[in-house]
Amino acid sequence: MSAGVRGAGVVSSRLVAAISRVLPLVPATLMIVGFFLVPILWAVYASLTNQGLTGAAARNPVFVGLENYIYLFTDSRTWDALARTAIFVVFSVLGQNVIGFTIAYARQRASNLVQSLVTTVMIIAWVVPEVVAGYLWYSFLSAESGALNQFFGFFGIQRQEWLVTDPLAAVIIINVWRGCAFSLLIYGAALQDVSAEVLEAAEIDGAGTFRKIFGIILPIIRPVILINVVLTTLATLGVFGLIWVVTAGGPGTRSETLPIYMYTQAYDFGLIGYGSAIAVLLLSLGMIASLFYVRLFNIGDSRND
Amino acid sequence: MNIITNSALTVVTSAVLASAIITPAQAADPLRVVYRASSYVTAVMEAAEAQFESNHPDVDVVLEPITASSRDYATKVALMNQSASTAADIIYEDGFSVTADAAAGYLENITTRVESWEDWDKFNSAAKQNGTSFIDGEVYSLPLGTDTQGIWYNKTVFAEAGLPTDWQPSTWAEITEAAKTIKSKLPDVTPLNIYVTKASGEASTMRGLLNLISGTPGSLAATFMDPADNKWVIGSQGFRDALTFLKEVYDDGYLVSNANLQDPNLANLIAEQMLPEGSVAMSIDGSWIWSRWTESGNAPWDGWTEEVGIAKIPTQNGEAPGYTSMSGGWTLAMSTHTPDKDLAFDFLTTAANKENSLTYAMLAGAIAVRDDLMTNTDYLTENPTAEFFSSLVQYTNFRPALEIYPQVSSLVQQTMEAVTVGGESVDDALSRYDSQLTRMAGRKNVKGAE
Repeated sequence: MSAGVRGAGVVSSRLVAAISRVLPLVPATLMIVGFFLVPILWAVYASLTNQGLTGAAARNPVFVGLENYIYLFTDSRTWDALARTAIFVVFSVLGQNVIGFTIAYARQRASNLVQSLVTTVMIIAWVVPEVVAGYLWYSFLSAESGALNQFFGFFGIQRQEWLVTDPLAAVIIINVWRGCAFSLLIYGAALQDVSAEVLEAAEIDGAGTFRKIFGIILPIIRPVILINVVLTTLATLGVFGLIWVVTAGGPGTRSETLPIYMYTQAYDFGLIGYGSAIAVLLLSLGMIASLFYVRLFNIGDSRND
Repeated sequence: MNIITNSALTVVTSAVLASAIITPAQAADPLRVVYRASSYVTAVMEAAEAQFESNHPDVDVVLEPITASSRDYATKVALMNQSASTAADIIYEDGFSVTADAAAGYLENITTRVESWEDWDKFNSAAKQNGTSFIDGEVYSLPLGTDTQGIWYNKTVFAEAGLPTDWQPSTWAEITEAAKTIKSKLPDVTPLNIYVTKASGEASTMRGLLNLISGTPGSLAATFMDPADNKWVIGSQGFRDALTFLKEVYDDGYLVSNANLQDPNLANLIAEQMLPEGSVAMSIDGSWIWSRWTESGNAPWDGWTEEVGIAKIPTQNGEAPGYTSMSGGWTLAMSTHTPDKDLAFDFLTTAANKENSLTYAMLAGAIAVRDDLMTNTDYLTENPTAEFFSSLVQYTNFRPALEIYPQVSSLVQQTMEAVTVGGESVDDALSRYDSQLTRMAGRKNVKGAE
């Protein structure tokens, strides 16, 4: 009798323990399901319909199977946008990492005052909201009243229409400018972990600066480089506001990357279903990129062991 | 104990989260009116609000002006209309969106209501089309004003360039010729304004492109959309010629600077600053822009009646009937989500009554849509262009009010921008236009030019 009661007590207390262990996870799970999984599933579903922003397709969207995807992959505009996205991501990531590392490396050997000045200036660029940063650059580069042209005009140099001549290069430069601070912070921290003894030993062996960077520092901070490349790639893939404010994907479609293409189709052309298909494509690209990097990263880890 | 506290907290948190998700939004008690912000719409809406609230002291009218480009305005309103809790009760709606928004179920069918409204007979029938769905022929929106288009030019600049001040081109080439003369005689003056970019939104489609292609052989039916079978036309010569014309005037430097072309505020800049000061010689623009130059306008200009000339827009090579124009206009509709339909319709009729329609026509510079205003002497003396622009009604065309028109319009703007500021070839831009149009309308709703 008493054993039975004790048994039931154990069971119930285990149950309580199990519930109390699981329960704290519930809000987080709800959040992830509600704000992450459901929207993704909705986007995948919407991409299989002709859902519109207005017109009959807004009231009664029809299931159209893979039609959106067939259009997507047969339309040269998609491939153009993909190519531009690739250029945008590659050069932004390259620029941010190289410049971020260079400044971090140079900063390390500067005086304390210069160090904190550089860090402050860089962080300000990073903390400014992207819409504000975009607007500042727009007014800096725009043809009529742009500060850069006024500066050049002062020296009698012909005005340039920076945002028309090569809009893609312009948005890459702006994005690099804005993203450098992040890489600077990451590499700054990583460089502090490179022990002074190793560098000293290399110097005694006669290694120059160039050799020290490529032979010693970079291999040591390789895991950090990988993480930083992953983070900057994923952040760059999704850049929308900056490009939208500066060029809105134009002139024409000359700076139209995938996020801009997605927005244009969904909200300008009112093709929510088609826009969702582009969103799914963008999401897949992000996942492929991160899987690829994760794999690279794992290989790096196992070699370290 | 800790676990229990934690769990309790968790339960509370989850409950709060869940209730936040489940609790329905409160039904909107006040009558919410959404419109694209501008001084003249605000004036009309505020007048209507005062009149309406004196008749319905228990109802609070809330005006919600949206400051946005015409493209962003349409998108914002469409997004508001996604849910009953965010949809406004009364919607200021561009005529070309009525069919699409009616088909989407955003707008309430008011056919039976207008038929029993005594003033409805006073609205002229062409303008009524602007608020009628192309699909079912039912009325969804009350027209507030209409318009036609012409080429406005600064006579002082024309005189300086040695051009006649009673100028009237009869072909596109004569427009280019005048632009060439101005460019060579007055290098600081921008000869011509045509809206050609996404930034100018619907103005680019309607005032820029449709005013041209409606003047090519076969007009809009052969170049844009054929009302005989409701099919969109791709690969037409007229469309190609119009794009080529735009590319040429752009490449020859006859249009305003790229920065101005990319400015969403260009239309105001032209009407209120560049045309009056003579830095732009001519502009293909709507019949309403004179309203900015009156005493109560944004840019009063004393001598405008003497210093401004208006020419009809010629057909491509002077084909019959010789001239062309486009017409549109804004309307006022009520949402399907509005709880008290009688009340909402009462606001519509208040806003479109004779007094408010007159205010709208005067302040917005619109061509009045009520016949009882076209004989109103105040209106005719206040608007010296009324007679000229009303006479263009015989040449005018309406935009195809198919439900995907707003989407096609965005595509047209992108195509125009590509061949001008974007520097693309007409061939490349046209082939993208054709494939995107096919994508939007569906293959069965598109046909090649005959």
